[in-house]
Amino acid sequence: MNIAVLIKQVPVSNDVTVDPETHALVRASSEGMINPADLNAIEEAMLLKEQTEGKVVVFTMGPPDAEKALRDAMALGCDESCLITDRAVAGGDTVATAKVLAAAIKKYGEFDLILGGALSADGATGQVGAMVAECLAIPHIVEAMGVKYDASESGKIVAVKKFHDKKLSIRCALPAMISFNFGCNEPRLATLRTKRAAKSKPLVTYTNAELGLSPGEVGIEGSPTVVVDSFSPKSGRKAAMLEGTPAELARKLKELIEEEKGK
Amino acid sequence: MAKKKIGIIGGGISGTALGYHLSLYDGEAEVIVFEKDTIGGASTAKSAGTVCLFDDSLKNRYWDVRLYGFESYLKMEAEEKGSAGFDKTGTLVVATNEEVEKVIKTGIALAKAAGYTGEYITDKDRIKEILPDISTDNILGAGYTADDGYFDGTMISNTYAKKFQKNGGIVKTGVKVTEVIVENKKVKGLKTDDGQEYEFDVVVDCTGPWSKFTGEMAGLDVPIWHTKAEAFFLCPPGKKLDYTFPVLKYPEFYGLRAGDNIFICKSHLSMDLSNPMHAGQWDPDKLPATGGTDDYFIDFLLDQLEAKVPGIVDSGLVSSWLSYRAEPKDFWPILGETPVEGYMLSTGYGGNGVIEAPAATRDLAKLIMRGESTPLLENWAFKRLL
Amino acid sequence: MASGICIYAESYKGKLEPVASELVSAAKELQKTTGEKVQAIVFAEKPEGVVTELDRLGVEEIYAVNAGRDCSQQDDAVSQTIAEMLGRIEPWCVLIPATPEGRSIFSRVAMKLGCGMTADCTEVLAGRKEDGSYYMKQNKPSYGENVFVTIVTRDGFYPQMMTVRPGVYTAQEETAEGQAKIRYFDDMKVGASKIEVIEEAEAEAETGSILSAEVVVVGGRGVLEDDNFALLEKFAEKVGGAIGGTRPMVDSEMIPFNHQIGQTGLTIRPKICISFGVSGAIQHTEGIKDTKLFVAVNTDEDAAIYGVADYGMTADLKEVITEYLML
Repeated sequence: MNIAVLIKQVPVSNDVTVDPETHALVRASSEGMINPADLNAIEEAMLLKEQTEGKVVVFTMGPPDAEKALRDAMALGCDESCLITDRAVAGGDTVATAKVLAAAIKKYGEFDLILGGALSADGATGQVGAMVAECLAIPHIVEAMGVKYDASESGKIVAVKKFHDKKLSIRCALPAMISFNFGCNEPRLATLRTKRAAKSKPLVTYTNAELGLSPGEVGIEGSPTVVVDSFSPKSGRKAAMLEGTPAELARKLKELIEEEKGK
Repeated sequence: MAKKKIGIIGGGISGTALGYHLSLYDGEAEVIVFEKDTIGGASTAKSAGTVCLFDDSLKNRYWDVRLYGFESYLKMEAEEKGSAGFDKTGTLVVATNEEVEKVIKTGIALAKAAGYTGEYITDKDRIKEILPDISTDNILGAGYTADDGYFDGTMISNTYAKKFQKNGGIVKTGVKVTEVIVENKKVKGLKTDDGQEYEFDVVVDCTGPWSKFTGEMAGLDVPIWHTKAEAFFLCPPGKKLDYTFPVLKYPEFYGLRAGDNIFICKSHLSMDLSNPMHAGQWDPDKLPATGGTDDYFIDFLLDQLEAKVPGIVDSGLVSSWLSYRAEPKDFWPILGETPVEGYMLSTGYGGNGVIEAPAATRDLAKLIMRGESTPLLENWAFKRLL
Repeated sequence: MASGICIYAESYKGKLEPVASELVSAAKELQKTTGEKVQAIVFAEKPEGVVTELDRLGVEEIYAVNAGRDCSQQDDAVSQTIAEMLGRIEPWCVLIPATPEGRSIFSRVAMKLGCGMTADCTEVLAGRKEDGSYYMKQNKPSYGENVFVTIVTRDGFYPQMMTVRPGVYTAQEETAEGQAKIRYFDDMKVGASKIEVIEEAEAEAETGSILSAEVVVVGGRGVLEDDNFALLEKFAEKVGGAIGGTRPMVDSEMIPFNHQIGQTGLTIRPKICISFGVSGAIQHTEGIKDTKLFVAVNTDEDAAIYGVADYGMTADLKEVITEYLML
């Protein structure tokens, strides 16, 4: 089974503020890492690879330095990688990004499964996976907790997903797209040795033109939605202090927990 | 008698320890510590906190300073468990050549003189008993004591801050100093980003890696540069070791346990100071909380561990971080007076702030409160760099 | 010409989801500016009950498709039908619950219609352009709520679609009798799906792993005293949470190392985090990210943890937990 894993390089820290005058984002650090839920997707890919023959190719779209995320993924066991980097694709919304990723997957080869993290730590839209599936005209299951593959039932995979307090087993025909929730498994760790080995694993770079997409279809230009402003939250992340007797505080705590659980 | 007004910039180990020591001059000083973020949260948090009885890197030159630090923290821990974050794992210092061997033997003699245990072991089986994952090839022997280990710099800073507050000191966190007011080469006070202005008789810079920028506010060129301390947290094969991993010191790197994980950091001695990747002047505000290590560190550490501690070379890489050791080019701290009257420094400790802060700030407090110098203050004076 | 403020009336097992009623009130707010009709689309196996519920909320036009079968999780097929429904209705905008189902179906719909979709809005406002027409200001958090951004859908892309976070709008109150124009698209047939649910079991609260747990209860040094840890355990059990802790708790062997949070331990991203006796030194707070609710209880009124929590309580954890257990 050949598996494509879609990853995103996100900032290590979400410590971002907005310049009150220019409204530009000011990041505390430029350090990037693989999006946490994507590590769970890579782990699922590795577990499937152990059961079936085939290769795991990791894809990302980003600036040239996103190569670091791909090398990190290959240090975890992914066999090959593909970086889509082009000024034209930068700043795209979920629709424009999904188009680019789908085109890259198609160009790279045939895959039985496309995996990814359910939500990114920065934008947290949770949309790109299903959009890629739509572009590739394949079914998708998002926010899964795991998958089970039975070789005797070829062409199918079963995903486990929590939905309305139920645990669903969902069978899906391959090829398919599945995204995984953060924390659904315990991702393996790279070692010094696998880190070194990852430096010489294959990395293919695609530009927009190589994917056969026109600049008007991708990036900011190809995005139906645009960010027009950014601002700081009304109240900064400073705790609202609650006062009262221990009994009152306990009741308040219960209300807060129940309200959040209900959402 | 009017109280002496003292402002301390920086709430790391140096600033909080100084605040505490000043607060011991019962009611004679009015002290405020300004911390722009959280107490002990910046380079102090990245300190490994090894306050070992065998001082390999400084060649035992300031052994009394080290001992004072060690014993101060032992007492802190005894007073309230966990308040210094002491983990008594013992220390193993490995001799890879005769010069190192000599330094280790000196350390053992000094530790014994202070009433601690220590021995120099050449029996390789015994070394392997202490650290089963070590390779004893190409080593002469190792110094070992069971009496020490490592502390937690952030815990200690918070404990000092608490004691300081209990003695009447004021800690302002989340407040950034934006201006140091100097008139006629004399410090007058400072301004903060919440729009406040303070009058002080003495202002002390305890900002470590930031001292270059802090000094500029007082019109001083503080000759601090940074060397990189790169570190990895390793998850050992099998996830948990069945022995206590001691503080482990080689000339090139050191290691210690962090829960079930192992922390490995590049040592000072493995730094190539002429390489701009290793040493230079950087903006510590841009330093990420995690990550940031350069690729060469992987190769460096893989080669080191394969040769020296092969049993853990296939550990998982849990996380990494990079810290700046801030120091002048002679690697000694800068302590005491500057050409600006009333503006003092307690900075440039390199990687040794946790070790040296108790003795250094004890002496600095005495200078501030009584005008009396000490040999340590003289050795680490700013004027040596002018 | 695209017109109408349409909501996706998500339902589960024949009942309207509470979030749908919140979207109705969001739509009614928008209506005050643009004056357009409030519409709803229903897609369900047995839509009649859902349609009645919606009618009582004061929706003006309801469009429904009877799926004829349980289409749960068959979002490849469902999205096709919904795209066709929107093609017929031609609304100006579509408000969708920012739920697993909403995200999953409408990501595909957005791609099919080529219209884009903004995720997880906490505020939707109608703005007026120079030519007198309206546009939608879609405000959403980013970077773990450290920043909010305003997103707009470009001219010419209709419908303007966005998912709206549950819980930010107040639910619309029911009226005695509805007046909605109800229309069933009986000619629409749901296509085959490559997906089927083969088993449905009760899900248990995840408390074994602090990484996958939705609720994490974190203890700090304050828990080391007296029988506080036993209280913490009882509290965690009551709220269905996993227990995480700081180094002192691991050192005292109250919790295993793989439940240690912070720089040397794990970074957790639970939905809800309640901390007791945690001061908030950086090694710890760096380990808790992207929470939706973070309440800190500490005896120290200046504890640094209040800088990162949503709510703070200066109180003795023993007293608060004891009271909580009696509720």
